[in-house]
Amino acid sequence: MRFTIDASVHINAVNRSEVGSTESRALLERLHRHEHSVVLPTLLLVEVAAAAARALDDAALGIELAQSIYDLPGQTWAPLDESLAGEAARLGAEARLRGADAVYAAVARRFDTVLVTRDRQQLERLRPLLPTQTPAEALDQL
Amino acid sequence: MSVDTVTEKDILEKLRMLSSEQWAQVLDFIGYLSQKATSEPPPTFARSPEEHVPPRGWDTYVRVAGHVRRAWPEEQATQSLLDEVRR
Repeated sequence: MRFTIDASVHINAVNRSEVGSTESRALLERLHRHEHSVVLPTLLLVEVAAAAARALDDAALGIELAQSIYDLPGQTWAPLDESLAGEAARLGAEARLRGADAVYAAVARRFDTVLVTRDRQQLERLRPLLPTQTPAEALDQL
Repeated sequence: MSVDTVTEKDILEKLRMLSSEQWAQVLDFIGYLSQKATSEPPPTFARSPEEHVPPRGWDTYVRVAGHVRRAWPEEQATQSLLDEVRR
């Protein structure tokens, strides 16, 4: 089984007091220690760096976190080229998604992965379109 | 016109050909170029094929994520943060 991990899982994993943080951390550890196949949009790096820098008011630490995620083993990075953008546009329009959510959906669709997310709107709108799980659900599958 | 042979006179001549309505755009672009010249280069995630990258992987992630985790403000919810980043 291959996975696409939404930025919400990575952010939740470092948000220690938030519900689900333990599961998000456990999932990331399971995926990367055992080198399960993970396909991610390069957009994730932007989102993690921006979100972490905003929360911490520390640009360098936000970038460092994104870099450390980039260096995790077992990952394939999917850039948003014209073809993937076209697929994201179609999915975004059909499911009324936000732009970033559509990019994750397009990666999951193209690479036949399970999208793992804690994002409310992704879970609501993408479940009818492609395999979508919470971190706890994905942990049960591994 | 070759980029190597552009002179100040060439630039000024081109600027004179613009309408005054475009001056604000020119100033914006000059500001962008000035900022670009003085700011730090952006981080590069891609590696060149010949670049030797020591294995970092999970252990480095754990160290950095631990640092982020300790600094993370308790009141900052993931959903609202990503709603701001993704709007």
